[in-house]
Amino acid sequence: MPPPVGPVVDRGVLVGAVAGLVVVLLALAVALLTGRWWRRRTEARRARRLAPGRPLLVALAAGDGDDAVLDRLATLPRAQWRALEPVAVSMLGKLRGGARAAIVALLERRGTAVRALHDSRRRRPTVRARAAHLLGVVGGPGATARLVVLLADRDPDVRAVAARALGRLRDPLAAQPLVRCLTGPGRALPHHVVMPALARVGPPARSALVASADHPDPAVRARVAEALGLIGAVDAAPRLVRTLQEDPSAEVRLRAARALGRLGTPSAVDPLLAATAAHEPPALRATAAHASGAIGARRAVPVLAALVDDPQHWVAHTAAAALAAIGPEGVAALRDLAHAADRPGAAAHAREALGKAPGVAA
Amino acid sequence: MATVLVADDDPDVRDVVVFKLQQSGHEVLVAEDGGAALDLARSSRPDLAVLDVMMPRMTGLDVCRELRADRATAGIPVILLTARAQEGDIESGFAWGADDYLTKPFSPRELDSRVRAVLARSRR
Repeated sequence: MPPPVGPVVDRGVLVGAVAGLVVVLLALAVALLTGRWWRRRTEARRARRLAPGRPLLVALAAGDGDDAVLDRLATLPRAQWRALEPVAVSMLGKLRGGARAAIVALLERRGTAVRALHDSRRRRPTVRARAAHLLGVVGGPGATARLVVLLADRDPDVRAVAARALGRLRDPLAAQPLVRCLTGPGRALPHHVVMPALARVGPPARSALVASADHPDPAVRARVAEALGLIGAVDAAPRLVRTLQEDPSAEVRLRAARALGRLGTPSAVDPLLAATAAHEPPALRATAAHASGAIGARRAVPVLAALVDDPQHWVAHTAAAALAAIGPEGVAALRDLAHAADRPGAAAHAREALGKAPGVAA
Repeated sequence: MATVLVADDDPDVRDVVVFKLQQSGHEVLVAEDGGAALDLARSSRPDLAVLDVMMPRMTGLDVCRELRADRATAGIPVILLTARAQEGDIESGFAWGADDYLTKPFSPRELDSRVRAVLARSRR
């Protein structure tokens, strides 16, 4: 019987392949070790450059601005300052009062804001984004105007950093441009970026939003209503009530109802309960029921208890959850409904809501 | 002056707090995480502890609870330093026996005043 025949590999090819593999592994090992050595060297050099300035920076922050310390930091050699500047910028986010003002004064003396204004025009998006962040923490003349320009930057990350930076500056002049990010046709910015910025700007942002509440485009009106709720514009509640009652768009009315629930204004309870009426769109009824529960008004209990029997499943389910959110009186109403043998649908919704309510046994 | 334990995993915050308290004449013990803070509190019995809420190994709330659970350390006043100004954090802190709290971003000058006030209350 002949022996089995296997694939024939040339010995020279095999040796060459093994040698090649060894060379590749050696090259990888050298690259890895060199990388580690380089990283350690860079870190050690950074630590050496930080060493003279960091204790002074801590002393400046803790001492609420000692002029002698400020002078020494302002005249540190450039290489040392380049290592220290990121630490100073990071400290700004952790401190307030005199400590923060002292570090801002240092950054102004070192020309950080002027350099950031210059860098905000550079080609690389990362440089522009870093400059926008610095303008937001340091501020200074021209910072708001430059950041407003960056809201229309071609890079979405730069736009987002500029919006956050404007929020941090809390400059009333930023209100209108930030609102335009929500209402205008320009480059889009995510809501979760614009809303906190508007909330930090405060009352001027609320006024700018209310001024856009009558925009002819219902999509814009809807965004404005939502924004008023998200930024906690309690003083805009009467305007939102009017939107809930009178706006021709169901979507805008729904957003107004949701915003009123977020604001928690007691004067909104009756208009919200009126919006749960059977002739209203189901989505608005459910949203208004949820908002009534979020406000927590006891006078909403009978209306919501009646809604738990609604033929619209969504409305009934939301009304039961809203009763649980109101507190002891809502829970008592749910307990009654849970045992109502003549209303099986309502009883099921009530038992489900009681089961989900924390610390409540059906 | 008093011996104050400062525990925070953020070196910037920790160094500023330590500098401010030393400047006011206190002796300061330093910990970089919750576990080390608890060990230091048990071994050195400071007059007051300033604890960051969010720390590795043990949170400031956990350290506060452990201090209160041990008769030997139950009387150490605690000031919580928290980045999260949420009611839940603050309520939990007071529920576990914290004496005061401060939210980040914080003012070193205000922290110093709170330390003085809590020390004065505890010595009455």
